[in-house]
Amino acid sequence: MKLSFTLALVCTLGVAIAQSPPASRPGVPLTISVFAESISLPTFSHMQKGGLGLKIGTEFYYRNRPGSQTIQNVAAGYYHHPQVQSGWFVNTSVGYRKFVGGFFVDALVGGGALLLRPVAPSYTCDESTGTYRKASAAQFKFMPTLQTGIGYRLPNRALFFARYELFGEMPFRSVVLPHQAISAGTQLHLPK
Amino acid sequence: MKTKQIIHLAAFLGLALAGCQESQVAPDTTETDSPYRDHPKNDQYQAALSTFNKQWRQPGNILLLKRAGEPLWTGAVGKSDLERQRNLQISDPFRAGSITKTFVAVAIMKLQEEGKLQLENTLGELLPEMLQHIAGADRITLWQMLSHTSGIFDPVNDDAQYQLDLLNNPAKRLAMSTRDILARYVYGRKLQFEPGERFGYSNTNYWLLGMILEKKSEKRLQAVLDELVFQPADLHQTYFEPRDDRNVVRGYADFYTNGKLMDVSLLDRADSEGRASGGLITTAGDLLRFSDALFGGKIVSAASLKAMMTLPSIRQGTTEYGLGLDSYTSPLGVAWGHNGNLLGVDANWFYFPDRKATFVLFGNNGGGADKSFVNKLLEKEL
Repeated sequence: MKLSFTLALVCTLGVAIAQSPPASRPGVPLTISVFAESISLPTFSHMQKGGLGLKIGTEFYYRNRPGSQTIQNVAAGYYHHPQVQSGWFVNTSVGYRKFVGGFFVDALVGGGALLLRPVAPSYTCDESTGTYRKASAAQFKFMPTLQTGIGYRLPNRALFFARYELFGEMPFRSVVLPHQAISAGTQLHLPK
Repeated sequence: MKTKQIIHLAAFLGLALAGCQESQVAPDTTETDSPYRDHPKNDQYQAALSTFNKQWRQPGNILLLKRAGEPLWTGAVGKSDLERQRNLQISDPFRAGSITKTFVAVAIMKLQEEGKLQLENTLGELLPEMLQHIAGADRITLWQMLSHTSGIFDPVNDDAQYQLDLLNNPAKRLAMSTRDILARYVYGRKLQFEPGERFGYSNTNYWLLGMILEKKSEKRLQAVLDELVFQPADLHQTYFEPRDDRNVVRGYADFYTNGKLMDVSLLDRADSEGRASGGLITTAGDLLRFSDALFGGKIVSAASLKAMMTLPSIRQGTTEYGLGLDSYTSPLGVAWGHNGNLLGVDANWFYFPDRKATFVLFGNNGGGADKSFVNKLLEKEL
């Protein structure tokens, strides 16, 4: 319910700006997306509910041609996974976007920092007394990301997209704790 | 513009971190009161337990020692609940993990004695619907399931997605029935090896044995265990059915390998409660009563006990696992019992027939520990 409301809000915002006259020069891209994540190996057959999140970012172009783009994006976001954890993150990805008419597909790979806060309390042991004290459970993790998506570009350069994303918490026991996410969002161009 | 954004982001993350400062909790001032203070070796045993507790970073431990010719001793050290700083008591209930399997095996042996089933029965004969779902169900015997030589797939240890799903949504796992779990993670999987070929520990064997007990008895597993095991062994602080019992000792683990112990009780409960592979809640005292009753021939017949303590012949490798009873060789002779490991629990119960000695060791850090100090205590001259 929350996800569909946020998604509707994001799409409405995109349409509203899309209906305004196109700028003569493209402005700074602003990307907003909402996502549903779960702790899981990559799978479509057993998708499970997990947490919800929001991501805001921008992107830069190494190559920007009418039919394709080589891009690097930078994003910051937050997700909350009930009973398990919440996370703030900043990450960057590089990738390639191919246009066919107004439609496009893209794929990106990258990494970033994840400030993780488990829901369950943690404790540290005072070695001198052997007593345990409640301690901050927050911790920084490396956050590898891999994403691929499809979308549509409007004449005014605004984009709508849906993506399948994988990200991880590293290090975690056997190397990485994997998450997968489905996101939907829009990219607007703020006037310069 | 970019600099401002970075400053705002840094301030944002700083605020988020500030909300994660360490906090103190009010200590529980209840003293650990031991009725074994007058035991001749109380100080020696208590010191050994305290050393073990600190060495292996266990929030709390309970140790029960029973030796021939010496009074029973039970001691506790540390905390049962770090949030409330509650001192661990010797009578506190623990999650027993896989020690549950011995109880289930005993109930199966009782039904065999009553003529309701035979160890040579196949899974398909006892649960015909499994013929469609479990490979080899037409030839896997009860004996092979009890001794973990069936080859049936074990998602608990061999399926990463099983563990990730537990972590993703513990409440959902807690609500799943054994049949739901079998359908989601086991049905349709290939056998790991041909039945009887070798030993391969699989929790699935005991999920299925629990279903067989329920079907043959036409009762829920809690009622079956109560009637066939708890009552005959005179256990009053042992139960199996799911309960939101706040008195159960909480479990901890260095989950993120960051040197901090995280409370993983929610995960342990979701992964074990109501499951024939590990759902038992019990106390050290009740486990001793169970042990005495089992090895004293008060619950099952001598023939059944002998079968439980006989290692199956397998075609590859070796096994130290009988029928619901594990064994290991020690300087005190062969020990029989079981251990139980959950993420936040390390439970051990073993009986040494040659010395007529028993120990129960509970710990609420599931990270593992060297328990050989117990053998040394039991070895010492009286």
